[in-house]
Amino acid sequence: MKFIKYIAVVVVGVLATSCSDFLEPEPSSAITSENYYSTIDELETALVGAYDAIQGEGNYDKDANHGVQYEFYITEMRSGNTATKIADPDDFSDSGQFEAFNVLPTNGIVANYYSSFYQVIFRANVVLENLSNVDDDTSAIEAEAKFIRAYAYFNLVRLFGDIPLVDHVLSPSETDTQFIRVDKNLVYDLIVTDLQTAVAGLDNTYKTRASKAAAQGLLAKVYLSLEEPDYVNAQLMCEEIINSGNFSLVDYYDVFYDELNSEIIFAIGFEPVNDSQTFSAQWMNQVGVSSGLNYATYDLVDDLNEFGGERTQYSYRQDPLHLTSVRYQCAKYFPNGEDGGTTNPHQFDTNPELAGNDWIVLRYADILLLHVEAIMAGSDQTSATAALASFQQVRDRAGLTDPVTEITVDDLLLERRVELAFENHRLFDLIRLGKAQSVLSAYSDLNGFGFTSSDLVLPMPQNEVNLSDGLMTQNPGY
Amino acid sequence: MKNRYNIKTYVSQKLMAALLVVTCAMATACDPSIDALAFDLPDANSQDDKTPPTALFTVSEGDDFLSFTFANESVSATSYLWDYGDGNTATSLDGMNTYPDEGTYTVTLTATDDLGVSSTYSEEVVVVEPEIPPTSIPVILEAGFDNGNDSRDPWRNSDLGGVIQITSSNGYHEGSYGAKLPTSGDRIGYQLIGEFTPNKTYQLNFKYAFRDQIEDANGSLNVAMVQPMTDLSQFDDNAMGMITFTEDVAGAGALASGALVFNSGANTSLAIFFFNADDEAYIDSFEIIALE
Repeated sequence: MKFIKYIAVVVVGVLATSCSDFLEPEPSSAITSENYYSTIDELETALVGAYDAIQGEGNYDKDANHGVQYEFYITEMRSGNTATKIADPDDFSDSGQFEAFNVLPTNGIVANYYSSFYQVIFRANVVLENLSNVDDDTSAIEAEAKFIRAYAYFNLVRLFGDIPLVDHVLSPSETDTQFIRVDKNLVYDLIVTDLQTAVAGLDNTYKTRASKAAAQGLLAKVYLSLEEPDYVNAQLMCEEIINSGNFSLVDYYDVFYDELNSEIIFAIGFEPVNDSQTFSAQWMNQVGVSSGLNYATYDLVDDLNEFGGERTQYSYRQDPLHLTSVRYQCAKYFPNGEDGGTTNPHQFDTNPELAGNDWIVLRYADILLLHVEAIMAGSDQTSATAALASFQQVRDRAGLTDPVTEITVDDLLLERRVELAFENHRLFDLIRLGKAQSVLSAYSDLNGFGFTSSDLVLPMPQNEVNLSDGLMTQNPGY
Repeated sequence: MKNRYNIKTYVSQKLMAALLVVTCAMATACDPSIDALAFDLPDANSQDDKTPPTALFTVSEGDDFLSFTFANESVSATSYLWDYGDGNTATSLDGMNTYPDEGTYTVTLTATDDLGVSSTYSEEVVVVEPEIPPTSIPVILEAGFDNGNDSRDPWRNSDLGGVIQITSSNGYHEGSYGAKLPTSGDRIGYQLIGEFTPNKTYQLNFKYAFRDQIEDANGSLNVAMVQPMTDLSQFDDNAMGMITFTEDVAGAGALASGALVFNSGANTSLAIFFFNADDEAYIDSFEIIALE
């Protein structure tokens, strides 16, 4: 009997001490998210993953995130700049809803962009959450992750208005944070502090990854987009980039077809075949799965013809395959630089649906025009010397060398339109400069479309509203 | 026999009754016409409207100061009535109005749903022709150095150099006193001033003089506007404008007028910074004005 007591004590002791390790063994031949991020290099692979989420998948799978490749639908095609090949107010397909301002909450493209960019935010948050696992100096990694997070939030807050603010990796029980929309000013607070960290912690090594100049440029635009714009700091950010001497304007054609040229500040990199995009093909006539997207409206073509100068010939071309009416295509992103010729169907040396054209997010001409906007500081016009100098640089490159002595808000909007057409700026420019309602309702009336002021923000995706179990509210008008 | 008859009667009576009930039921329940529902109470099982309309809009200025656009942000409404406060009304979804003149107008939006429930929201619109905002003129402390040695305090910055001396020598100042930079050239004046209006052209006026203490040396005086700085090494990057006077051109003895024109750029505060080299220099009577 005595021995049984001792044996019992020993058995209980063994059970109590050894169970936990035994039942949750550390895998010795596999990597888990819990033991992975332990060196700078490993954190960097997580960063690269976040860029991968911005790129999105280069295919047409409806269930896959397509990231920035779908951005033109929800920005350029809602701005009066572009439309489907045959614009039609009664076209209620997902891609046909944008041009006529008839976007439905069930639109799959809107949902795709929303989930793509929260995926970007998630991946950036994973990096930030694991910084403390590494003993080395992680400040550059932190700066880069915060740049990515700010870039994603800046796009989302401008497109959807109030949105859920997720600043850490969520656990499944945190449904409130996942679905409850917070005031957009709070989202902007996070964007500004993230970008300030990015400006302080980054250098100008990369163009397809975050850099100091990219953070400064994005921050300038953020300052100008605030409810109470911070014009002086926006001007300072632009001048930091201008005075750095690292960037210059190049020949207009080379901006788009000589990748990573000295005008590019930040671009989303793509490579043909293995890391490719589909939008270049989609914008042509029946090259992708669509019959033709992001075609220039007559409204845009008229402005380009009258005010574009030498930029016009490199901005659009008449669709050579569509013979029943006159339609215009974007000429800035031909797949791998090949315009397909005039044969029907087009002929290409490389696969146009696996195109490698980078997507330009920030370039020097954008910064010069933001500099003008910052100096204008909310007034109707400016003739300040510094503003005229920046404005003139952009026009000189386009061959419009007549000296400008005064710039009005409308001059600035027009210059941005013809300089940055097809680059997903127009909608945000109209909103930021307070002209969206008047310009877009006039355009809509002329074309029989259904624009109302509530169309300036997208609907929250209906599947998110449904999943939220009443926590997520819909935007007015949807 | 009698019993059997009874059973038959009983069965047939039951059957008849059952048939009658079924027929009646069918006659009432299966009648597809609306008449059958005529006696249903109209409000039976109906629910309260849990989403009554809420009227809301935001105002933004249009192409000129008289025209405004109104973005309708009402929820749960189907018809709208805009009263722009100047006698104009509209029933469109979004509003747009051009006012006849300056003034304060109350814009009222009435949003109504199909149950006839309505909500109103009002906001005042101030129509005023925008004035060109006046250029702000910063205040310079002890601009004339007329409080003797106390005048030195706003001009001190020991990170950049020694403090100025104060002079009362005849001919080298205006008013009671002026500032003096001795031959050693190691003293400076530095004062951070604001508010500047960004991107405006200003002119800094002052009086200055040289005294020929060292015969071989050509003395110089530099007056600059700089962004705030903590070390002389930042001078080249921070200078917004600088003017240099030399003894051989300006001569010695007589008090002369100097001016520095500069643009405030993206700054709301800037510092006046002056220093000399090689010979004794005097400076006095700072004043800042906006040009244009």
